[in-house]
Amino acid sequence: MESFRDPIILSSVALYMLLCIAVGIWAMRRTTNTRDFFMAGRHLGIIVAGIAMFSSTMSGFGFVGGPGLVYALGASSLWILITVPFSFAICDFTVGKRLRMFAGVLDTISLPDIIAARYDSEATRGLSALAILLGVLGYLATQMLAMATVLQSILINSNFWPEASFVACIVISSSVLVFYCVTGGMLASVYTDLVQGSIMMVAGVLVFIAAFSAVDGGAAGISSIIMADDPESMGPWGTIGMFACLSWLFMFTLGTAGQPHIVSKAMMIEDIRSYRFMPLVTVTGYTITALLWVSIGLAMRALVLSGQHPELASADAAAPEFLQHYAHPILAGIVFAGLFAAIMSTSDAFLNIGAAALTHDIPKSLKRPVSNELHSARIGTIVIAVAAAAFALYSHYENARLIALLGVFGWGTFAAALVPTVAVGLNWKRGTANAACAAIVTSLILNFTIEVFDIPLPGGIHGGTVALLASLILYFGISYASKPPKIDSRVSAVMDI
Amino acid sequence: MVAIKFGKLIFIASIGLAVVIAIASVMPELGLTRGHAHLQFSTIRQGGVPHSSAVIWLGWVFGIITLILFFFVLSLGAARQNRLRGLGKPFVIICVLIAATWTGIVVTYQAYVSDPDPVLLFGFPLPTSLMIFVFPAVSLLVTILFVVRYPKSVLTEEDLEKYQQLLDDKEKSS
Repeated sequence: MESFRDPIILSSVALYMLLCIAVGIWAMRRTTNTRDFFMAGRHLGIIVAGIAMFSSTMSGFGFVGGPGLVYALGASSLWILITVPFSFAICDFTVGKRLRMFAGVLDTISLPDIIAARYDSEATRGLSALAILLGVLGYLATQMLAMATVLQSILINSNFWPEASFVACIVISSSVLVFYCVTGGMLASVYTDLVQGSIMMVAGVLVFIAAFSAVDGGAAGISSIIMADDPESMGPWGTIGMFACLSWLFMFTLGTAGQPHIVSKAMMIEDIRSYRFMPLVTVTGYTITALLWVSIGLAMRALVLSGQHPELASADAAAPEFLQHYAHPILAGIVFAGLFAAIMSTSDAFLNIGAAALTHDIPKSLKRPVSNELHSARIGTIVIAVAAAAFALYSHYENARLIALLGVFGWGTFAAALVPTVAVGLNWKRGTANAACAAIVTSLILNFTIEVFDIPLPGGIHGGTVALLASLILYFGISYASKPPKIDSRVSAVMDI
Repeated sequence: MVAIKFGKLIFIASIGLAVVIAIASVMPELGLTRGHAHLQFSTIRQGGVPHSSAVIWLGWVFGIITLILFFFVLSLGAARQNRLRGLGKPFVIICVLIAATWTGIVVTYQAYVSDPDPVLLFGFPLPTSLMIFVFPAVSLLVTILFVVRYPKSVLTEEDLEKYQQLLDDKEKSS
């Protein structure tokens, strides 16, 4: 079996990609208008929507970066995971039901549509769409980079294509993604998410068992090795310290309610009463897949510290190295497919909301709506994918810092820009359009400034946390200092429910 | 029933967090980054010297305000006309449980760093076990609360009727 390891991995990934293409073809026949393309026709059941929501949350960052963080920093990054029930609860209580109602009553097809209606302001639409577009480009480029890196290592290790270039790998992996997103829009995205989420859950459980079996004594054995080297790294704050951990807790827990690729799934469910069970699906799915994040990172740290495994070339190699050396070949095949699934399930959501921002929201905010939105949306999807791939390639060959810079426009910017504007604003009638604009602009400026100028913060506090706090304070401060806004009667009625 | 202005409470809690960060920025011990590269393995970092008591308790305050702020945001989302429709008491109870767990993590951390032979619970040091197993379990109560109370506190029959009315009005006007 061991001699078939590489062919098994390659076949699993190829099979998975073929499945995605098949879903794209199936969904194409069911996508006839922009509501289908951006909102999956608003006909999703709660299981499909829930799995799509959690699998969009657990990106390549979770499957590759997560184990790398635990390997390098000890227990620190677990603060991102432990309040997942809380993160989704904040989403569910603040935006879940309300977004679905707005989508129904106002016939909206994007988050900026709802923001524009809530604040009766095209400026808020334009700014929120701009923040989304910038965040999407950064996030998507990092995901494409990760996909191409993993694909290249698989192709070279399997000797199937030993000379596979990075450019070829980015073209192959992105083409599959773009194919099903362009043909089937959000419908293809959510149904591939269903497949992807299921693969990720299976991978999470199997890897958890394999990881704790890889070190003598299981979890206790791992803890003993790590504590003998450095007790702090196994303590609750890991190696980055208490304030840095708390800043992650703050930004990732509260920030989930501002992630457009996550919360927009709430607008797609068919029966609003079924939203009751959404958190059960999302929390269960995310918790199971997070087992991989924790277990691989701890096991690899212990294996390296005890001398049972050579030091890794980089922290992000923790997951691939573990799969190559400690997982059964079939498990490795499943998890590598799961890895692509994690990356693609987030990327497809970003492509979709990015296309909406580019072809629907920004033109509308400039009072230049496009005539054939479905056609434009498909073109827009390709344009965004090409731009993100170009950023990824430029970053790979010329400027590695570019992606990091764009990446900060991801979670942190979405959180700082959209938590006050959406999670608070849809529940608080006192919030004004000027306050929303100020919150969005502040989030963009602060996040970018902290990253560009590499401004260090006390105790390693994350820049996104400072930006989120600043935008919250500004949002409330400006709103309280202004006259209460007039709100459209239908918007007001939905906010009262 | 008391009407509570959750917007104001979130605003105050946010300012409270900003004040804690401002205090942290003048504490020399916190510096700008923590930990250092491992002497033998360049891809691994070590935490180094444990936090002092002053930093720990300032961090405790940061954590408590953060948790309270989360509950204010939850309450803002759940409230109608500033009333929580049966969710007030459960929110307070869960908030107290989470704050107690958080306090437990902080207290046991101080014991952990001074103990040469620390206790392991489920394979992890006690404060880390509290963080990995108890904190999420208590947080899960909010999820369960949402599921159980949904038809009575989140989307009632009356809410559904109002929503249906809005949809009907939209149909008529179009």
